[in-house]
Formats: sequence, structure tokens, C-alpha cells
Amino acid sequence: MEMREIYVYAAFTMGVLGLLEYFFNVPFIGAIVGNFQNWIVIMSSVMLGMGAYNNLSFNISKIKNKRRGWAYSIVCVVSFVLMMLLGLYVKLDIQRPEWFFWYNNIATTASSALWAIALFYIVSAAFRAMRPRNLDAAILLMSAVLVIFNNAPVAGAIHPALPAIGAWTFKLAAETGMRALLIGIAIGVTSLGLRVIMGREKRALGGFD
Amino acid sequence: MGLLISGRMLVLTLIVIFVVSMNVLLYLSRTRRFRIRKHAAIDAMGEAVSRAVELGRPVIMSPGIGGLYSTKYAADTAAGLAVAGYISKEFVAPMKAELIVPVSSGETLPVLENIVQQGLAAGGAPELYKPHETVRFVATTQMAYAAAYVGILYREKVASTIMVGLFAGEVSMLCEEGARCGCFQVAASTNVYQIPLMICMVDYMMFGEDMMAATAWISDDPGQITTIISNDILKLIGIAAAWIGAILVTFGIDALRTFWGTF
Repeated sequence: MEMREIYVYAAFTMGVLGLLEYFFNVPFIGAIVGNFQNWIVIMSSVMLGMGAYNNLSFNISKIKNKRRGWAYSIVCVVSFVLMMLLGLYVKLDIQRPEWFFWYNNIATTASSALWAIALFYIVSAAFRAMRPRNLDAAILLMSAVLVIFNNAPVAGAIHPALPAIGAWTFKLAAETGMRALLIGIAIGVTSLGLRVIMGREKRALGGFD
Repeated sequence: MGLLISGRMLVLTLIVIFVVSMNVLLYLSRTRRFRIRKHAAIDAMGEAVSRAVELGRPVIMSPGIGGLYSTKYAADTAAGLAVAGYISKEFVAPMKAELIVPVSSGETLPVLENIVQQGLAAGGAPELYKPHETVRFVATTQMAYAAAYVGILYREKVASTIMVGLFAGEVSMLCEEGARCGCFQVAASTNVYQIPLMICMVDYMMFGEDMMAATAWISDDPGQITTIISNDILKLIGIAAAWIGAILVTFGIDALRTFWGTF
């Protein structure tokens, strides 16, 4: 039996057990699936360690070979080692101020700054989208303007009906389309899941014929 | 306490219909070949890789920020894995392109390493796989992932990007920076909140269930094609149920909703 066949059988077994546990009230199956879920947590932690090794190997090799951007790799490796040592010092209690101070003032702050920048990316994308190059783009532009009417106070000042039209476009037209899309996605996800469980989807398991 | 868990029978019924219709279609596919429309974005993936080769620059394939253990988003990541294998074998290996796969979840990393390595080997260019370089673990949090992705775009002068998987709030940064770098971008997402942004920013886009259907299309397996037709059967049932439900509710009859709500 090839290794890939073992993956397929494992995916089938776990998938069927997961489905049975979801739809039927059988404590025995529930206990097995519960055990699998514990394995997932353990394996996930182990694989995170593999990720850390991958990241460190890449960055150390980049520093050694002085490849473009190697100085950033020094920052990455030093931060990694320092935070790891700090984590060991606080005995993995990440609520302790010695650890939390550094995490909160560097990682969280940098992340918040990036979230703030995302606004400008959205504006830039919206600007690009609002060019009526063809009929579809013109319809998109019109509906965007209607939705803006829903939120911009000036729309009410121009005509009292404009915010209501904008609200209708947003609540009914947009949401209806979104729901239709969601139903399609749900069916697509179910289909892909069943393909993996039934061993039809081999590429997601690394199969090449 | 009964054997069946109430409130979940609608989904079970749909799954049973799906499996039955898929098997019937599989049986029929022995005598006739079913075809589905090819999505332009699938062709564009080859175009993205060839453009990168022409420019002598790398191509990024991002499987998103999702993992395989998320019950809600595992399918998105699975689609990303399938596409990573497909482009490695069909385009990257034959064209001798440089591929970079930034990864954000620990459990996806070994799977992707395996898929990309096997894909390149199956395509006849195993030497293109560089351990810890082709598939790179960059960060687990979404904004750190986005920062690393953008760093790769600029530092390594990426020519094309292919994004298939779970993407959330960071997508505006990924796609917009890709557009600013002049990258040829192909993306796929099921996140309805990010789809409008991606459509504005990328060159080719698969959204919604197209992404899931793409994995069936690239397999060229009649069995997988039949699942797409089974999807359409389910969708027709859904459309019919929506119409019948809407008409019944309009006339004050709540029987359909009550029936499925009970079971």
C-alpha cells in the first residue's frame, strides 16, 4: 500500500467519523472524535515548531549569504530569540508584565499601525474601481454612489430620499447578492469536503498521477 | 435523547442528495464525458508564471492565512493546496520558474512543502525546490503575514502573484501592493467581505464556489467533474426551495421553515 493511499483512508475514516459525530448522537463516536481533536491541538503545536525552524533557517541563511534585505533578517532572528528567551524566563505565562510589555508595545502596536494603513489601500482600490470603463463598471459605480448616499450626511441635504435609496441598495440588493454567493460557497465547500473524504481530491493530499 | 441531532437534518439530507447524485453521475460518466466551463483565471495562472519567467523574476503563490484544522475555512486552504500542486507541476516546473510560497499556519507548512516538492518533481524539475526557501513560514498573525508578503514583493521583485485560499482584512494590503509593484495578479476567495476589494485590485479573480470548482477542473478527473454537476443539482434544489418558501411565506404559510426547523 502506497503512503498516499494511507492518507486517503485516514481522511475517509476521520471525515466519516466527524460527519457521524455532527449528525448523530452516539457517545462512543463523540469520544473518538474528541480524542482526534486533542491530537489536532498537539500536532498543531509541534508543526508550529517546524514553522519556527523553517523561518529561522531561511533568515540565518539569508544573513550568511548577505542576500538583499539581510539586515531585516537580523532583526527577525534577534526578535525571535529574545522573545523565546523571555517566554522561557516568565515560564510561558504570557500575562506576566515582563513578557506582555514587549509584546504589547512592539507586536500589537506594529499590527495596529498596519491595520490603520489598510484604510488607504481600500481608498486607493475604490478610486480605481470607480472608473466607468464599461457597462458593468458603470453599474458598479452607480451602486457604489448609492451606498455612499446611505452614509454621507450631505446626501440628505441634497435630497431627503437619497439616504433611503442608499439604504435600500445596501440592505436589499447587496445583501441578497451576498446571500446567494454564500449559498453557492456553502455548497462548494461541502462538495470539496466530500471529495477529500471520498478520496477523489488527491492534489490536496499531495497526489500526482 | 434521540439518535439524530435536531436542526441538522436539512444539511444531512442535502449531503445524501449530493452523494447519491454524484454516484449516479459517476456511473453515467463511464459512457459519456461531462464537461464544465473553464474559468479564465485558471488559464491566467499559466500566464502569470510565464510572465515571471519572461521577466526573470519570481512568482508568489499564497495559500492565505487559513489552516487545515479550521472547520470553517479548511476547504479554502485545501483549494490553495490543490492549486499550489497544480501550478508547480503544470507551469513552474516546465517553465523553470522561481516559486515562492509564503505560509502562515504551522499545520499547512509540511503539507505544502510536500505538495510543492512533489509537484516540481512530477513536472520534471525537482532541482527547483529549495528547502526552507521555496516554501517559507513567515508569520501566524494576519498583519505580520501581510508585512512579510509585501516585503517579499519588493525585495525579490516579484513579477506575478497567485492567491488562492483564505484571505481576510489583510487582502487590501496584499493586492494593492501587488498592483503597485506591477505584478500580474490572479486571486481566488470565498470571503464575501473581501471579494469586492480583490475584484478591484487583481487582474483575474475566482470568487465564491468558483474556487472550489477550480480544484475539480484542474484535476481533469471525471469523478471530480461530476461533483460540480452535483453542486448545480443542489443549487437548483436551493433555488426551488427559496421560491417555494417565499411564495408560502407571502401567503402566511410557515410550514416549510417549521418543518426543517424541527428536524
